[in-house]
Amino acid sequence: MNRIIAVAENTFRESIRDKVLYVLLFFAATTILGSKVLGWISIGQDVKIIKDICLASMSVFGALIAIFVGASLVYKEIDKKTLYTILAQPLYRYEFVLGKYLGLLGILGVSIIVMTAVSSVYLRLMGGAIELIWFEAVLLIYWKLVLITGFAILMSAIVSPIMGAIIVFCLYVLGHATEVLKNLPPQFDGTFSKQILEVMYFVVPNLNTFNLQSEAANSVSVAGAYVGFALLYGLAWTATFLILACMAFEGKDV
Amino acid sequence: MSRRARKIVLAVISVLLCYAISVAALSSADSTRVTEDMDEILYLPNEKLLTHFTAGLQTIIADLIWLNCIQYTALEHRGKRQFTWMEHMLHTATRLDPYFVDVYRFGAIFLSALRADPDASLRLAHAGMRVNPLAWQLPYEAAMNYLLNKREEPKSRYFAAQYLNMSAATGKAISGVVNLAAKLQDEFDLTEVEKDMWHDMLKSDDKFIRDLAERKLIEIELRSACEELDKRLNIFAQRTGRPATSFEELIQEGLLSGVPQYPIEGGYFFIGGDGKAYNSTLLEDEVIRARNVLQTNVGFYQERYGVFPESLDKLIEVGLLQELPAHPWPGRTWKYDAQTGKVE
Repeated sequence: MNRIIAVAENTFRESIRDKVLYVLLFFAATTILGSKVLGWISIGQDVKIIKDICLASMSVFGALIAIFVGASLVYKEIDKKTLYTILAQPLYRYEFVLGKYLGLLGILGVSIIVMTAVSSVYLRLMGGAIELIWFEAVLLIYWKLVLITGFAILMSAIVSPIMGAIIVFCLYVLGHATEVLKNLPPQFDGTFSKQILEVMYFVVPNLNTFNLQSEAANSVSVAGAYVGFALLYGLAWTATFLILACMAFEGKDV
Repeated sequence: MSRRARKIVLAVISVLLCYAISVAALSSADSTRVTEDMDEILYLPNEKLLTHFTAGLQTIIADLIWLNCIQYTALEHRGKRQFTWMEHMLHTATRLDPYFVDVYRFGAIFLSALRADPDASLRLAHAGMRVNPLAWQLPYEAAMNYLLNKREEPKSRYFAAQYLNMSAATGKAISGVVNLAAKLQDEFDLTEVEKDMWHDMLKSDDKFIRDLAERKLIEIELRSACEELDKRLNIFAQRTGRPATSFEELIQEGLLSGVPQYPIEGGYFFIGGDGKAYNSTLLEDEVIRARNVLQTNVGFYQERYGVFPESLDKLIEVGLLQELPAHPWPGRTWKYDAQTGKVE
């Protein structure tokens, strides 16, 4: 465990120095602070629009950090040949993968905390109320990033960073669209295609499960059980990706 | 100045120069390029499909569509006043963000007050009530719709009372709603209800809503003025045994102190062939409302049969309308072009 933590700390420090992180955080802060502009042309819905933009910024910029930093995490070590030095130490490969993963989660955690703090203060200054659902929405956004990062680590162990980033981005878009597989039009009733597509619904992670943005922006509360199930769902998928990532890296000829 | 400082200053000047050139070039390009004015939205995808492909940004896209809808409504209100896309935009925004109560609320007001489509307004309010049962504003707007726009329908007061009770039952409604629900038990002047509603809208932070409320309050005053003039015209007819042909005759008879003034630019009062008082602003507003009803049903006919109806009477034959709305201007009739489906 200490070895995993050591790799995680190292990854965290390394990622903190990454310029991409600051560029993305800068754009996120700019978007959040600029959200008032859209509110001006609404009919008194400025607070709602600010909430929407704040949560969407956390989701999108968090995902971009996960994709760009995560997809190159393992590959970079191979490319710079630093991996040989690391693996020469008494360290299992799975420990290396998990350490990298936890380090990136730390970065994402700090990013989300910074964005939440900026958003919450800004929202209060604009006269908005901060309720429990706001923090539940932020928690589930982070949980979505936990899942995406798991997939990004898996891709990092298998393919090149660019290919990995493209595949993770596709999963991000597809993961938000899986409900189309469940809500098929009546023309599909009784067909084999419907059965296949309904199975597909459970094969691709449904990222909308982590989307409480509408509820948070409109101050609509959700059952605590829902949040619990969503966390469990994310955990199960993340564990799956991490196991696959460890297996892929174990078998990788470096 | 050190060499490094000189380099920085040079770089800043170069960047500013390049930026200035880019602004000038863009302005020139924009003024050179001739583009047709787009007074309607270009394309709005199917809302069911859009819901699934927003990459988790449904709420933001709903906000943008709503903001676009406000701009579109304001432009149409100052222009053709057809509001063709309004309902589609509202349904798209609410499908993407079903908890966005203000879209249902203001959308229902826009549909009934501007597009003159109380049924579409009710559909939107109902959709909102299903998802947001605790939003008092939605049954309130449905009640207002029954009181003001569907007042001719049987049981309209009964339905309005039911909706107001629903609104009061949420426990969040303003006191005025509860009082209004109680008032409905008695006969009372609906004009006062309408006035109260638009007076509330005058307090809105939004200029468009305030302008709309101001115009609606003027229209109420014009309606009252026409009613008052009708009373005096009746007195004139009883005294002289013939209808008055001009307001000057009423003045000579001592029934009117002067020719009525018109608060909206370009509008005027006149006496129709039937001896009743009319106001051109109100008539133009009614023309737009009636024409929109006809135009919407011509569109429904075209969707159903693939062609425009040969005549407006076809709308009655196929059951889309029970009767054609009469042209509000005395002595005028609707002009219909079966080739283009346009009603004038």
